[in-house]
Amino acid sequence: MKKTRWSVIIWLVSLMICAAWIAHSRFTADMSAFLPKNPSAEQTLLVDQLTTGALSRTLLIGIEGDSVPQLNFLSTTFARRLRESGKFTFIANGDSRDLERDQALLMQYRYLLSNAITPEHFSVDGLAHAIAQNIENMNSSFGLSIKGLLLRDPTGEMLAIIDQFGDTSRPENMGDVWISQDGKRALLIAQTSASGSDTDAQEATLKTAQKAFDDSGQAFQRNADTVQKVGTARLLLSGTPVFSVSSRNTIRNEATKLSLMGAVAVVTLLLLVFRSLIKVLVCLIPVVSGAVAGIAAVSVCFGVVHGMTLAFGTALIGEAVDYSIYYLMQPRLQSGESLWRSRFWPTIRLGVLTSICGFAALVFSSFPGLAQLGVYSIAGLCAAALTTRFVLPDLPLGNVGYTPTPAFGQRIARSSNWLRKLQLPIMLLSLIALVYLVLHKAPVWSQSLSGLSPMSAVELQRDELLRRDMGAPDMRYLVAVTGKDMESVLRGSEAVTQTLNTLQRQGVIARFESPSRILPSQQLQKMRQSALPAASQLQASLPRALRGLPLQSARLTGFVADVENSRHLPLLTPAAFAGSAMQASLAALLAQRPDGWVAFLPLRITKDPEAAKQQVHNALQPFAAGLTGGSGDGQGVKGSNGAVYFVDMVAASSHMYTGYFNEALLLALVGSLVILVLLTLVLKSWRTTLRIMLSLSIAIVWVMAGLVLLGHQLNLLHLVGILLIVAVGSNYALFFSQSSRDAPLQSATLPPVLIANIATVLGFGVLAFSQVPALNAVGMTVAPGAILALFLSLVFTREAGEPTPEPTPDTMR
Amino acid sequence: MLKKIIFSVLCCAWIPAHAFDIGQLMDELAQRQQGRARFEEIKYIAILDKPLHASGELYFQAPNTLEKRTMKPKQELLALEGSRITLERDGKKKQFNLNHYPQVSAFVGAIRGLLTGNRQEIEQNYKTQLEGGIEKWVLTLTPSDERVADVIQSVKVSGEKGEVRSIEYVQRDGDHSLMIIDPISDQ
Repeated sequence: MKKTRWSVIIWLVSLMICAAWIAHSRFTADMSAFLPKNPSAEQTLLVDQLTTGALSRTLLIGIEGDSVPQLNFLSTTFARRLRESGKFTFIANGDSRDLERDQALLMQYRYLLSNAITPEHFSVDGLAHAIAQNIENMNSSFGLSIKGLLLRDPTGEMLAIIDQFGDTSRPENMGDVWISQDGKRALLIAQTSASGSDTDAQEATLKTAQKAFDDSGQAFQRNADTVQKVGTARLLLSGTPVFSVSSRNTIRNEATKLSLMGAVAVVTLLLLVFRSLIKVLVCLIPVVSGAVAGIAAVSVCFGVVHGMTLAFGTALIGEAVDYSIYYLMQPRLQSGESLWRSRFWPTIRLGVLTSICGFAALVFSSFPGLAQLGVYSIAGLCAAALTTRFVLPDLPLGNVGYTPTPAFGQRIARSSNWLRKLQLPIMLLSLIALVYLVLHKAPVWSQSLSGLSPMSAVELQRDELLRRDMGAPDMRYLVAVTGKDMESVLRGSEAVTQTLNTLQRQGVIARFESPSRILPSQQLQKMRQSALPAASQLQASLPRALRGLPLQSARLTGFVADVENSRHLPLLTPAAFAGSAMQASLAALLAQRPDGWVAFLPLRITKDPEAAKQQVHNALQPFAAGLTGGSGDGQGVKGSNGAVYFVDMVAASSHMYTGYFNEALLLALVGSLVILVLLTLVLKSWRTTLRIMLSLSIAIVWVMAGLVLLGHQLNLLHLVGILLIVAVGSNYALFFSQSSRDAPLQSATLPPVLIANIATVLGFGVLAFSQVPALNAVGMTVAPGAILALFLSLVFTREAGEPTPEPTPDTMR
Repeated sequence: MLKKIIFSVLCCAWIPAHAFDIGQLMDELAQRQQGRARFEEIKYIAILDKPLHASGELYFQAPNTLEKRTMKPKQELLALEGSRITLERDGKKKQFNLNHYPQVSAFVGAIRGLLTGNRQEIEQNYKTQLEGGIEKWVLTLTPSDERVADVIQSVKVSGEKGEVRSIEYVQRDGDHSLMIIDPISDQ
């Protein structure tokens, strides 16, 4: 007894190393768990937009109130307070004063911005035509409103630019501020200074916004006259920052809540079983060691630990605690000899191996969430098992284990004989369940990633509402132009814009947006500048151009001066739009990426989507000029200056999901297959393996049928759950099939296995209460699956009551 | 045409007022629940050497529909339905909400209010002053909203009995536009 307990020392040291590593680990709960590890070019666009792009910093804000004057006041005050906070790079609320400033900016740059500018436009005929047209416009119902522009802008460039911008998204109505169509909400758009990946800073920014809104509300209460009904206003926030903060918080809260629930449930169970605090604490040693090792392993492998992995880890408590339960409930023969090391441990070892095979399949997933889960589980289970085997026996615990009474064994034997009679009815019921699944009308498996998103329905609804109010583009279809610098991307975007204009005229697409409408390339701006005539030349052309028109050239000195001035204007850059509404539009359509720039041209398809998609794709084919080899995914067209992609975001994301799903299916099959091979090799009995396989298959079919019956559509995580049923369920089958060859062991196995099963069910069961769909799916699958697997193992894998006479070869040693 | 208007304005000045008030006028106007009229619009703009002419048809139906269909020199449709305003021109269609545009509301709303005899719609945007009698009357509207008053100095409306005959907008800078309305009798 006095020998050095090396195992305990090694265990303590490893635990400390892991703990130290964890202390320096980075934890996250952003969207990264749902994004691919090795994305395709299209997926990179999607991922960039979600993680660091302008979209990830853009907030859509709605203020819900009772009256338009109230909304006007709140929007103006709120916007001012947000600006003062310094936490936003821009805020636009459609304020008419901002509008005037924006218009002054457009007015200044109108000869660089207008699509109409060509040398011909300033020929005598060109001028005559444009001016006549503009005078005719003055004759329209709203004509007098453009009167003020005529002398400085007789060719109507401002109107042309406003028309050009007409397709750029913004709320349709502009009064004092942006107000939704139904007059119920004031609308704002803001971009946070904080990076999209810095969730803490985003959260602080959202808090600032709420505070600014509350202050604005109070200011309104103070200013409102007593007669006017003082309504209550509500702030609606949406956009990627809101989603990432709320999903992070949901996952964080869930991780805490679920771990607590799981721990309480399991500890309660253990207290009931052992009635000893010391034993319960001993039981938890492998669990804690496993969790610590798991987190450290994930941190080492991935550099960052996702909150989802931690939340899922609770389920593992239920699995890891099994080992200590088997240890503490080791059956002793009447002689006092323990069967633990000779019989139990080898079975546990095989169980750990099969579980690891199941989880190992996950490690190869390109879905980072699953891969982390796999690593966490493998490291956790290994650590828990090793701790149980080598550390617990060396701890000064005194006697452990229990001695089953013969009466108990007989009861078990009787009931197991009775259970075996259920085999036929169960098989029939399974057949019915299988037929139900096959004949089920709606698809049993979900085809989209949306089922996995931690966003709530309320949040999604609010986002859709604000997006519609704002006239924000439907980002489903978009053309992305990538390139090494901004200039090449803008030139590409100009070419694509022309193609899209043609498609729009043909009615293939309804409308589209383009950064080129806001910011022409430097090349195009220079071309326009060189198309502008010198003052003397323009002065000479004007009298001839105005022949027959009711306008004297002498009045147009402002026009001549503006044109002359525009020839020497510094070219427009994104910086020129700082603080204007155009900055917001531009930021959504033009973005810098780690390896260059990208322009987005979102479009809406009018008619038959498939045909239209094909037409858009064909129309973009010419951009393949200078192509060096296809881009591989069929939708991308690479040009010399980068690439042009036509992306259907829904298709891309469902394509991504289908990829994950097929991969997970393959991994699950391979995992199950490896488990079966392992079992066959170790058990050396095809019959036993088949029995185990049968009981597991039935458990899976029942669980699936049950979930479908309850109205669930199964997704990727249900599939993972099924893999876990195989991994966990095979352990029970293993115990029973092993013990069935050994009479004393047979009756002694059931109590510890039953308790271990309850612990597992509790661990996974708490996940079923999660609001995070991914965790919920796993919980809903594994908890009932584990119970069924145990029950069916009892029914199918136990031999008849009489012990096998021949001696069992001890294969485990 | 203009002379005719000026003449009628002068006439009104010395016809004795029989306690003819805005309420009566509006009642009179409101009797026609719907109607059609030809219109001719002349815009006098200082910076242009000649006035701009446009003509077409008006259609209204109480309580809140107004269509102004310009035929010459260029087709245009301006439709007002409740607070929804639609402008179609050059094959493009634009829609907005009248409530959010006080200036436009004052401008188009006045025409609708007059044609349908909606006193509330007029008094919401203008201070009114009525001269003349039921046979020939002149109603002068002065914008109450400051932003509208920055653009429009006054609107002079003249008519006979329950029919509006002309609407003249006088802009702050002296430019003005005159719309002469010629009802088409229903068959």
